[in-house]
Amino acid sequence: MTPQAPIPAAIAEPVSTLTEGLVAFEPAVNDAGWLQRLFFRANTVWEPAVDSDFLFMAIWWFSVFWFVVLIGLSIFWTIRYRRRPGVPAPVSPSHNTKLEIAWTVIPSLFLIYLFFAGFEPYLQKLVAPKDALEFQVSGQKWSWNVVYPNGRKPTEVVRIGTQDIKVVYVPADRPTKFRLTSSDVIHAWWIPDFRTKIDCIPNRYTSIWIEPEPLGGKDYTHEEGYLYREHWVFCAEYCGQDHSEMAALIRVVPYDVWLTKIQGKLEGEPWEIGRQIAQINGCFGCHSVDGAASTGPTWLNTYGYPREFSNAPAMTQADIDGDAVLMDNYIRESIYVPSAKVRQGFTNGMTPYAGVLSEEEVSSITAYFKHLSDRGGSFEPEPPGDDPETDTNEQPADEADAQPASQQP
Amino acid sequence: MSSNHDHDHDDGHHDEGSYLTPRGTLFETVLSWVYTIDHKKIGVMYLTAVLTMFFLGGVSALAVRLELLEPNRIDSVLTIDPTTGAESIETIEKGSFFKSIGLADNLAEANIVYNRAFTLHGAIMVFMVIVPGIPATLGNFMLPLMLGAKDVAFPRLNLLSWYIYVFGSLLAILVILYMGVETGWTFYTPYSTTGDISQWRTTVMVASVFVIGFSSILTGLNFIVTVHKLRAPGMGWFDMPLFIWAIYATSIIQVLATPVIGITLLLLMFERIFHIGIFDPGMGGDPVLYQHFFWFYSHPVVYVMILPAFGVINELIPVHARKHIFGYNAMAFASLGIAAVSFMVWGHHMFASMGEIAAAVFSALTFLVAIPTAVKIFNWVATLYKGSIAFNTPMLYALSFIFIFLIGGLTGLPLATLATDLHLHDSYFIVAHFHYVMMGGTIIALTGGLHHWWPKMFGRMYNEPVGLLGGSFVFIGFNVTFFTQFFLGTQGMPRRYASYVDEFQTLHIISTVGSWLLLIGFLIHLFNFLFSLVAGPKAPPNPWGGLSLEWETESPPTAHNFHHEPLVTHGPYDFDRVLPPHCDPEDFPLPDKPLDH
Repeated sequence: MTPQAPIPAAIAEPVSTLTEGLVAFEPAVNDAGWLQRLFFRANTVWEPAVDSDFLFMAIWWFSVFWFVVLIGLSIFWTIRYRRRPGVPAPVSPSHNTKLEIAWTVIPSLFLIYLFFAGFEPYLQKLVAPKDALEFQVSGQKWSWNVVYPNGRKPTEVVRIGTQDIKVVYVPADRPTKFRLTSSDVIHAWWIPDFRTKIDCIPNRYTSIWIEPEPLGGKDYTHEEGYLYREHWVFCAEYCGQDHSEMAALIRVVPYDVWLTKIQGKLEGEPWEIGRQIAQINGCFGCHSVDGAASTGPTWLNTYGYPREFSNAPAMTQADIDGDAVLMDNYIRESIYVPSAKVRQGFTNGMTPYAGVLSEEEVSSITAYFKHLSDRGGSFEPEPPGDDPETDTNEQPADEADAQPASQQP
Repeated sequence: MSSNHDHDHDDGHHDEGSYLTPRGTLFETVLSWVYTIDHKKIGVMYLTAVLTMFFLGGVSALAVRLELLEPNRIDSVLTIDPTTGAESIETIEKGSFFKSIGLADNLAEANIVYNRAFTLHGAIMVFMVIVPGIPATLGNFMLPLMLGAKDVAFPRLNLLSWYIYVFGSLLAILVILYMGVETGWTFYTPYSTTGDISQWRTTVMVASVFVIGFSSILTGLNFIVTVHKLRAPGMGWFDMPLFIWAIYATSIIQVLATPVIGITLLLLMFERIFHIGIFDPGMGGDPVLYQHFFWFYSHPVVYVMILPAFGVINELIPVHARKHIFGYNAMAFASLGIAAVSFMVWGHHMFASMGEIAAAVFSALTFLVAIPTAVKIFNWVATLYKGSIAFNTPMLYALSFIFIFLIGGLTGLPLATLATDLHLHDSYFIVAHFHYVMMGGTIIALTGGLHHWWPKMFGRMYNEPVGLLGGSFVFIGFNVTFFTQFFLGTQGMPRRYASYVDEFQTLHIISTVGSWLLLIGFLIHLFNFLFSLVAGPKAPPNPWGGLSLEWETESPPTAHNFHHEPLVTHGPYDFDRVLPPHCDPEDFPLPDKPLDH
């Protein structure tokens, strides 16, 4: 459904050709030993990640050495000097200053090395190059709001587990910087394949960056002909009920494809656009559209129906009949200031969408509310089997497609 | 015996029996426990309370592992009515243990139940089990005995701290259950202070943590004064058993660090009542500031958890290996060194949310902790050299401790290293790491110490083969449960997740099976102890041939600990030159020529 906009010639210039990538690029995955693959599954060739994996394996072997020495000696001596009736323990010294100094100083030297060796890749992971593409990311209970460098937002979702999660397109072979904040509580943006994460803190920016290697080798081929690779993003700072569903999928594509993917425009009737906006922004994680019980109230038959609130006067049928935009105001207010009117029987756990959804987007969602109500004027019962929660505008063919490509054999 | 105590009125009337001997009617006996100021009875009361909490925390841990056996999924199933042929799509929510046993109606609720379960597990295990675990139980019972004292310095304060502990624990559990605390045991703002779900919950929760902490302050104060003032004649500072050194260092941390949680509580209340923005970003506060306050208390408390465990191992290994502890002075100063550095490393909990310079400073300081800890492990292993090592349950636990704690310590290295921590932070790697040091450290040492001192505390022997069997189950179950979690962490599994992507399931299944082995191990120990209380053989005063003062009195000790004030003429670890009291010299022979120490 994403329109294939023509690429402006000026931007299209540095496009990498697929054949070049296939021939020239050999992913570093092959260089990693089986143990490193057991630890990390996927390996990238992004330099800071390679450095920190090297450091991890260095610590691993250092640890294995001391572990084998110390546990080996413990077991050996426990057996060698096991108690025999009537036989006293052999006489041995109870301290040895030289030995004690040695085993204090020698491991300390390794610790000093570790400190310095750990600092440089850490800075590399945090400080992005000046020419990096800047993505704005805002964490929110329980989804990620992403804005591309051109000001547009992702338009695709995939179903993982129990939730729809966003697909974020990132160009290959170019530095991408994520500038992060949060609109409610602290979250953390963790991209395990790139070994990096940072907390997303309200009222403050933090940032990390990645540079995916060129596509080729074992990467997937999309049915539209381009190569792509996928990486998980997980929320790593505990944020409540759906913390474990707060993921995103980074899809690495060639730069020219990326330019088209970030143009994402939604198409269809106003209510269809509203449904897509609601889906992309994670509304269906808490609200059903078929009357089923969920964390928040269902959207079915909401528009035009009287409602009672636990913290505000009830909205009666007379009120609704007497004010042509009362419902529109109610929906807009519930999106921007969810705590203003809390439905009877629910607690308010919703994050305000002010600053996340524009007035135009709220207007489209209102159109969807009308569509979902037999008092809304555009009500059409959905045909059976057309479950709007799973009907995405670009649904992957099967479950396997939803797995990050880099993690498949 | 000297009679300058106010409660030795029946001294000399008849054989006074042990502190466990019932006095008068059942009612009077119960009263004698409720009002007791005897450190031994208070120690046993603490033990009962702590083990009850351990049971509660353990049950919630098992529930958490069961929920993680399967990821939550929603399946759409096409059903065709056989009579009408009508098609309908049904969605089936599956994978949740809590939903299957009726604790939740749907997966969203199941997530909330999961969040409460791990909060209950974390809060109980940290604040009510591991922190008071060794000092309040074994410490209370053994510290005056090992010093040759009749009681702690302030016996009434000691009883008060038990009541404060019980009150604080009950308050915390009620708050978690009835106010819906599902914030994790760290209560990070703004998650814990915003939203509509009972905004007071965090304030009350931190208040109950402070109450429990206050009982630690009182106990710590009591122990510090006791160590300074009530050592038996002849016992200098460096003649004390290392267990005392460990408890002493722990007490200092408790007294100095716990007030910080009180300050945090005060600031939370200011924010809630007067709407002064301190932590809440909505009022202009800084949520990361809360983390600094919280960890400035909770990080030193990590060493409150582990130092007493070191102390227990310092007793188990020399006694059962019949060897002088290697490097006594290094051990004592390592304890104090760890206590000092523990106040300067809190920032390593915030590597993903603080500036680069601060992170570098805290990374360097964190490596400092590794040095005294490594020294201790080297010393324990060196103590085994040329010993006469009995392989019994306490020794099995001492070796388990070295094995597990070594893994816990070494996996701290990639967490202190900034580059690798950025990946491992808040992942299952950290979950595995702190279970290796906290459970594998403190709980393993507590269980080992309980076997070691069980004959002294209750006057009955436990069954040795059954103890070894239980210890083996705990050791294997522990490693199966938590070693897998290191791999989950490096592969990308975040902590505190109620569900996960498919690729992690195999490791989660292994981990859950391990938790069942752990359960079996602890149940074996429980039955062994209960059987010992009822029908165990009577314990001699000194079954292991120990040289510290608690082995000089009978098992269980009399109400006043010693019939005569003990005089210390030898060190606690001089196994090569002193015959242990109340022992057959044939059982614990001395070498012909002792070495000069």
